[in-house]
Amino acid sequence: MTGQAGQTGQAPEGWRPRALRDGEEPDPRFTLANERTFLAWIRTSLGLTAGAVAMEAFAGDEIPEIVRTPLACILLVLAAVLAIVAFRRWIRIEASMRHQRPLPMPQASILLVLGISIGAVLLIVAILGGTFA
Amino acid sequence: MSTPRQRRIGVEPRAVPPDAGLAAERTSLSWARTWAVVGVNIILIAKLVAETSVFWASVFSLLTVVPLLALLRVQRHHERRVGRFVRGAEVPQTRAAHNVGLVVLVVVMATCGLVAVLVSLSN
Repeated sequence: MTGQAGQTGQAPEGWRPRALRDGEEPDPRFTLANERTFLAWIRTSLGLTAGAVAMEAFAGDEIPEIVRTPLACILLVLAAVLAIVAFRRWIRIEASMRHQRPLPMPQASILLVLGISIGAVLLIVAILGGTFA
Repeated sequence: MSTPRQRRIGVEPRAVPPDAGLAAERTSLSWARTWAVVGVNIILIAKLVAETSVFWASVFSLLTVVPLLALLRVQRHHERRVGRFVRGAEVPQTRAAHNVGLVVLVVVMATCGLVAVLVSLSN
């Protein structure tokens, strides 16, 4: 990691990945918008973690362990993967803006929808299977 | 025909401030919301981890100190950045290291939760 001086010779801007050193500096408003989008993905990921942990910590015997544990594991793994994908997407968007390229597709949405769908299907199967009886 | 009386001296009525879209404020609130959710997660995971063992509970309590220190540093840097944007319409790029730190924090918390779930399953 190397410190890098800002273009104006002011405070150092800190370590930057290679993708964020090329091209032209984008409009500051777009940089901040990209940052907010990254934070929104991180909060989504933290929401999944909170849901999984709350289910495990507070559901007690309301939800049987055979459903609760796999569901919590799916949500926690999805949360970790989503956080990493969100960072990758932040870099890709920033790089696209620096080179005036079209913004990449939100692949993380597909991942999120798939994960939540699998969790929901698992819960439905458990309910229909009579695990709550 | 008289011109309308100017109420504020020195302000050009047609001037658009650099942060007309309130991007700085929205980003600051976004960071604040993120830290609030991090806090909620720490409390929830602490509850789950405390049920497993004293060892894991102490490891997790050590891990929670890091985000609290990071919070102060990231927040100070953010205030400086958006301050420059509001005054001078320029913003230094997001610190990649801060975002990496946030992602690592989320992954660590999810892993702690996963370990706690699996440990409680085996008990």
